[in-house]
Amino acid sequence: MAVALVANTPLLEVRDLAIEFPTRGGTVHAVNRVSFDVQRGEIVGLVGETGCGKSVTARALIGLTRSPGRLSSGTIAFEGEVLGGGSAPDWRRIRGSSVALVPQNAVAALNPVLRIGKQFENALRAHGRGGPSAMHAARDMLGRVGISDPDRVLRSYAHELSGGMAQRVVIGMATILAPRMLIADEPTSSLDLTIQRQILDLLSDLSRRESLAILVVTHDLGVVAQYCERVLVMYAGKIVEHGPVLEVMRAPAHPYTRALVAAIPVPGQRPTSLRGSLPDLVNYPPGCPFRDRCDMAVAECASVEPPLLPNGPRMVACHVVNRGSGGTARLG
Amino acid sequence: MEPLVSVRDVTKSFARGSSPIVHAVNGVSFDLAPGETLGLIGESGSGKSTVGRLVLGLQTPDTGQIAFEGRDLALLNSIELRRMRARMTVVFQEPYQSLNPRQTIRATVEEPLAIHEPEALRSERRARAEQALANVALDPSLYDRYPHELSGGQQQRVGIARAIVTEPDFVVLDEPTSSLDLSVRGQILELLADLREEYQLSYLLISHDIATVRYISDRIAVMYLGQIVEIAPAGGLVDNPEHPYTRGLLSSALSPDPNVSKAPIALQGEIPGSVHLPTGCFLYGRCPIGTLECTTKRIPLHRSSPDHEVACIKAPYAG
Repeated sequence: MAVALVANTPLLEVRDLAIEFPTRGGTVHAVNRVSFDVQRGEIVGLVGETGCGKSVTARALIGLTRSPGRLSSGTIAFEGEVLGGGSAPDWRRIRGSSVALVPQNAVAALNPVLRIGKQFENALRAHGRGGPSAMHAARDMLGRVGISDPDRVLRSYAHELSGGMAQRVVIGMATILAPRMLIADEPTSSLDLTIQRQILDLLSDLSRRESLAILVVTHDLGVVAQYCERVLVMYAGKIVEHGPVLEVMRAPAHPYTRALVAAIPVPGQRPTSLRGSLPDLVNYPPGCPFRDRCDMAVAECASVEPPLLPNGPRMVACHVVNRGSGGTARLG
Repeated sequence: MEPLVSVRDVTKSFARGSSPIVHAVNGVSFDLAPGETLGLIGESGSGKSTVGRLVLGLQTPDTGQIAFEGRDLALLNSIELRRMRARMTVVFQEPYQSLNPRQTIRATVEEPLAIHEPEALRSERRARAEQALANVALDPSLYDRYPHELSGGQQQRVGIARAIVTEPDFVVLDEPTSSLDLSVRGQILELLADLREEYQLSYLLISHDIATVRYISDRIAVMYLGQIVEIAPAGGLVDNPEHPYTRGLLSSALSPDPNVSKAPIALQGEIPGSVHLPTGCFLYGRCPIGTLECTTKRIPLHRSSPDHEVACIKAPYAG
């Protein structure tokens, strides 16, 4: 019974997560009661634009919320266990062995004054796996992330590596303790197009081979369409649409998702743009945060916050969209 | 018609202290006609931004010539070069970093006029700055604000207003939309397209993003390791790329349509550094169709059809 329960439990369960940043201008509500799950071995995209809260959400999942930010509500459970469970979670134990981070800028994330080998050794020692076997494990890992001359790389400093090579090293470091999940924060944004593909293929292979779940934080809808199974679309600290990539990218439902997909430049067509800007995250408006930029908004959108509701195979937080399809279904 | 900008056999390398010499630009030639937009695409280290700086006269080539309206930039004295700078301007990638944080938007846009037309009346400068700001559709309530109070898209509008306020003929756009959110990029591209009509501008658009370049360019040049490997009308280049590097670059773009499957990775490895240049074709080693001949022989751009030029031994020659 207990075994069956564990098998059905999502790998990661986020419930009502809210993160705020006290500033001189007031409290910034960066993430507003966000809930989602990630299953074992699944690649999930978390998309949105600057300031939508996607990176803040991702960093909170690994206990790296930047000061003075704090979790004001919600829970994060990993393999059914609520992290911390009331007290502060033991992030040092969780990080690396359960959930690991692949940062955006790999060269900057590496220590500039330590050789790569030493950095692997330090990471392993912190989890009680130091000693003579550490180098062996590091060499083996570098081979698995597609580095053909691991010994040279282990002797190198970060600045001696190309961007693609540094990203492979960072992915190797993130996965060496065999975590169940990777948080990849814009893993390829700083890389050239021809290298991006190589790194994304590597992440996708690792996911398949080692049943590794990956939450990919990205602003690139191409990455979502080609590498993710599910997508979470964030706007102003909320998830506005959530569902299988095949559904959401082909037929986006929420007006914001529609605008994002329509903004992708298509040869020969005028790209469309969103008017206006993000709402004030200090004085968070009542109702729908997207209403001022939305062509479909109705009176209700100004007063009632649209809940994230199932709509076919996806979830959408929009009064108009949900009423439209719900109404049709009832009438039909 | 005489080209507005003419670049001939330009090379540029950089040496810093005891560091090895970096060969950034290795023999680049192209012309830009008045009113034309040329897109320059390539990955980091391809030399595309260096070409932009050379064309603006911000750096001088080691060899080769760059001429603006037939006048070699290297032969201009500093006064003439300064005068020229009012007619060829630049929009940078990072709008915030290219604006003075202590200057209001209005003062930022007035500044080029104060430099280039010091004799103009203050009221006239102000009026022209406001006209430029109106032309980039920036709300007048923002004119007396500071850059940090503006969104990324608004900041880039200021950067563009600053570039057009002296009524130039030629603007270098160095990754003008790369730092902006997707939903704002379209607005900026449309604005650039509208201003091109209104001011009769020529653009050199430097970008790594094929869709951006395709949208606004008349012709596209593809750079790799400091060389142009292919140059053709935008549609022809994107629809029928001939150089294996162009093909690899285009096929590595990820479609936002999940039903379009990914093309297999065409280019192996990474762009080699620009310190030790290969003897033969620069792409040899990454190229899927390279042969032994390519290790020793590098061929220049040649016509493969009347308006398509390519630098690959495997590409057809057109009489």
